[in-house]
Amino acid sequence: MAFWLAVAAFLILAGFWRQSVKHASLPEDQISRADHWADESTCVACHVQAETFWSTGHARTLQSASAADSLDRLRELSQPGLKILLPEPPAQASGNEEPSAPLAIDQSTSPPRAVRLDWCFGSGAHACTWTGLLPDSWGMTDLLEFRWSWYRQTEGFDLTPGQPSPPGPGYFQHLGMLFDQPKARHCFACHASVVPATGGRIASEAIHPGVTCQRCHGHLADHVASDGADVPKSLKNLSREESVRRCAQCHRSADEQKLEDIRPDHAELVRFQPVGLAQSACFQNSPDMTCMTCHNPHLPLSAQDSRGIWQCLQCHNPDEAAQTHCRAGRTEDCLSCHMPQVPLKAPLTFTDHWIRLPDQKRTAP
Amino acid sequence: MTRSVRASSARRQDPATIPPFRPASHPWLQTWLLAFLLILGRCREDWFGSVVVIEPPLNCLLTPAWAWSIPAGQLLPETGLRLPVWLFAALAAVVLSGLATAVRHRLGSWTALVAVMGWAWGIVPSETCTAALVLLLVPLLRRKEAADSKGIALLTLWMLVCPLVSLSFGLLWPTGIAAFLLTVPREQRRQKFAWTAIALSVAALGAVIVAGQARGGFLAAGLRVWSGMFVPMLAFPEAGSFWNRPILDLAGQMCLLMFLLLCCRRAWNSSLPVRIGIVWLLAFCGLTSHQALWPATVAIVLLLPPQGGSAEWKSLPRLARIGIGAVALLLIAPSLPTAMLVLTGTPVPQRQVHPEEWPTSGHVMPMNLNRSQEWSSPSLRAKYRLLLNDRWDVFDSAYRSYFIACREVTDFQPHRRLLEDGSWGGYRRTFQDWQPELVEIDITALEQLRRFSLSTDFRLAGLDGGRVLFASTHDAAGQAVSAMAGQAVLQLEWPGMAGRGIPPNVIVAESARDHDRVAAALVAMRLPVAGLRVLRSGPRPENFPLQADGYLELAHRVRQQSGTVSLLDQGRALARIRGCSHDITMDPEIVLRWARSVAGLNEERLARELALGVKSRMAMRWLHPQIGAQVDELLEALSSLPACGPNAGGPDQGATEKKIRLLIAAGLPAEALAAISQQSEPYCSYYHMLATALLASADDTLASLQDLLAKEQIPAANLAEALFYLGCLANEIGDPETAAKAFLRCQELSPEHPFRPLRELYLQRILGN
Repeated sequence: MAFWLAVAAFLILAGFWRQSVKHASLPEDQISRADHWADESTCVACHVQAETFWSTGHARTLQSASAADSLDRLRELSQPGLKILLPEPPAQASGNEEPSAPLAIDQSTSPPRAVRLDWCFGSGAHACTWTGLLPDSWGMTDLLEFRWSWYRQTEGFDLTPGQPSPPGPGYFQHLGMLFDQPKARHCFACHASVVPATGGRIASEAIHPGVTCQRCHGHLADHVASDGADVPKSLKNLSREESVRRCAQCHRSADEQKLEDIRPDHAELVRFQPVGLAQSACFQNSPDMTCMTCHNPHLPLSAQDSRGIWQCLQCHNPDEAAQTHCRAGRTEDCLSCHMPQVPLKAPLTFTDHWIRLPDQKRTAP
Repeated sequence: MTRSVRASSARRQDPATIPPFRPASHPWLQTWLLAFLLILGRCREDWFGSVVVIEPPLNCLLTPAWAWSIPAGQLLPETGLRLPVWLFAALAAVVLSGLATAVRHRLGSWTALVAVMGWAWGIVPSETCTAALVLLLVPLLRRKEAADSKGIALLTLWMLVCPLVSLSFGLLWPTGIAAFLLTVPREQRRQKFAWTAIALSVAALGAVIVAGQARGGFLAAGLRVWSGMFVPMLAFPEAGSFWNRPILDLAGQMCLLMFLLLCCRRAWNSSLPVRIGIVWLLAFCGLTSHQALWPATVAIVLLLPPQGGSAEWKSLPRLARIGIGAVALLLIAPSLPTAMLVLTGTPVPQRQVHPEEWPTSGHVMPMNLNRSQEWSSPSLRAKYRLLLNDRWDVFDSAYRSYFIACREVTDFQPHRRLLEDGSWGGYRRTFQDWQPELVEIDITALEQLRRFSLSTDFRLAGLDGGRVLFASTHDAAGQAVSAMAGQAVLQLEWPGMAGRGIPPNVIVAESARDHDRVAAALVAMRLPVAGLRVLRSGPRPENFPLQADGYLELAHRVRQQSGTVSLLDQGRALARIRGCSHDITMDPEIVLRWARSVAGLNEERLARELALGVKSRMAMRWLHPQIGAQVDELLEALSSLPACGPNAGGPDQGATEKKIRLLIAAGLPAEALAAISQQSEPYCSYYHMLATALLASADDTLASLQDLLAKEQIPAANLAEALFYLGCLANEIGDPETAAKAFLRCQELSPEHPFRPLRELYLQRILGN
């Protein structure tokens, strides 16, 4: 009897041991879980930065397609053969007749083709692009990128970058392009703070839209619960490389680009600011220059002091004889020559972060 | 009471009374034959191939400078000691039957039989030397004066030899020393041999420390059997569970576990705490570490008390002998035809893809390290180098970053992303250093395959019954291989008019099991017709799950590309799912996947039934704890599923026709036929054919449809749809001519039919291939 009791205890112990080792798992993507997520509306009670943060592009970079701003813009969309069926405001909604999200209907075919628009990407500071989520045959999440985007520059709609013109073949040809689940996840990963995804399935209803406080500062439920006594790790102590890499998660990193793509005449590089910045002599010769030197992510771009010249004067002060000075003799508006606005194919313009002399080749497409 | 009597009896046993080690030739030969046949059955791939008995020095890219390799293997640095399978089986059978004889002396014939079956079936070729070393020590322990100076000298010599030929020396040393000390009569143990024991232990420990100082890997290798208990299953999926294994492997493991239990029982009865402690520690090691199970069961032989069964082999009942012999012969039977082919000089059918024949070379990244030994053949080593392998004592610290890279490349996450512990994910930067040319994924890891197949950095290079290989697209050699594989799978998916054959060494499946696996992998990689064509075994119930996956993929493809429902594909998928959803042996993960997929087809009711079916299996909650949460998540999503997307009924159809179409699309052939039987509309014969097709073979359905078309019994309103289905069926059975004609006629008849986008794609592929 004692033997069998010992065997039973032994087997249970071995089972627990194996289970505990089994669950030694790998660290997940930071945005994959909402554990310890704090209600961000409470941040403003203690942090002055939170007063302005919610008007930044980062905070508003993703919203539901049924949000008021999104619906207002979709109302303006007018393309031949395309109809947008908007949901009724909640007060007027009745029955199941009306869609719960905007429907884009291609009426140029018979029968008409339709797709539901679930999310609106972009804050509207530059552009907005709508997407719809579709399950594939394994329940994984595919993404339809709507063919038409709204651009601030023209205050109107135009083709979404990357969409073929004329439209390609397939059911969605006039509605947009269908992407597989990795692309869907990539899109949300840079426009949301929590994107629960298991085995390629994105839990759309659990997404926390926007690049908000806790995307950079970590999940802060303990900080809030302890009235600030539990202090999160400060980002001020990050090394220069680490600091730039945080931004480069979405804005791209130079060391992950193909070498042949990093060349002065490659205009598309302006979309990837850290890549250009890393090529700049200013960055290479500075011991502590980071994205934060010019940008304050807690302020909207228009309120940032990023277009001033004080940053440039740190090393190019005309009053310091030992420093390198502007050949053109300018003492203000450095950016118009050294970091010009570069237009791309779509009605979009990017600031070139490859800080260089104006005569170095910059070719617009 | 009984236990104490037995214990005292064990203590009184004088080693001198134990009969000398003299195996009776006849039973020994029987044991040898049994072990030989079982080992041959185990190595069923190729008896004339070779296995590594002593591994060559580690040659992986990430091998640290301090890594320890078996010195004997360094004598043959390129290949290690390799033996033909038949010779290995013969020699290993000698060792195992010798060990069985030792077991028989101590635990009896039946236990010896269990042990030899477990050892032979679960043999690890590179551990054969470990078994041989144990066998060498057995006679020493049986000497009359085992612990005299000669005995100590022989034990020391044995200890010196251990690390030269075996990586399990860390297991052999303490077991050997303990066994040696246990041979000394109790009254003499303290007086005469306490110092010897201490001296030997200190010498062994000193040797370890000195060697460890000189080369850290020696210490790690010495502890590898013990550190195996801490290796996460992530690195070795087969180590995860005894249950998720082929039935024959499971039988072998069960034999070993039973043997361990019997040894524990015997040690327990000896009432000697040292013996009980060490035996149970070895058993714990074997139970918690898949890799340590075999060497632990071998080493435990040394610790068995010298008493128990009779000295002579008990003759097994005739029926038992016949049964065991029949099982052994059955195991080797599948390999006999191949052996005959080799012996007669006839070319043997290819069983695996041979990457050594591809123009690629460079680093290989196996995602399942259990497969890393397959890359050790000289021809593969000449062209390929693993990033790392299953030597966890060497690579333990590298596994974390390795498996993060594996996950990131599976998820197609090339760029850096912050992980929850503050480290960085993303694989591009890591791969710039590692430069993997081939990635190997287990063919049974279907979800991984599905996700990985979307990578643009790696493309399919070849697949067989065991693995799928992907080649890097960043160099010309990889591109050439993946272009050839791409051509092969596209040829299967859309058999072309040009009639190009499938290039060799791309898709290799020899047995029925391999065909099933390759078919499942192709379906998972979004090549449903290719998968169904590899399967091509008709609507046998045992293939329903695979066929359901294929038709589900097709149904989603049609729905997504044409915005309408394919009655044929959706109906066939759902009918098969209904057919096997109540089978309790179905993997709950597959049923849950079906539920998700069916929900995407707007068949909410069936999806709910499937999800609830998974939830109701109580055993599942223990075996698959994570599934419960996923089922709840799905059920919640189903309750808020928006009514969006097409259904089977169209605006031009009447209520009855719409109902019939909905029943067919829902995979309910009996209900559909009942509804049709009450009608006398012209469409009845068409829908009757479709309802009958739900559980029929593609060939039969094609013939029925062709018959209906020939007799002009299909109403004009359904003709374009019927022609589209005809084209799809012809494509499925590999008749491009009929397929092209059907699609062209459909195009002519209804240029703007909802199936147009897909029809154009199919036509383009069929005419282009």
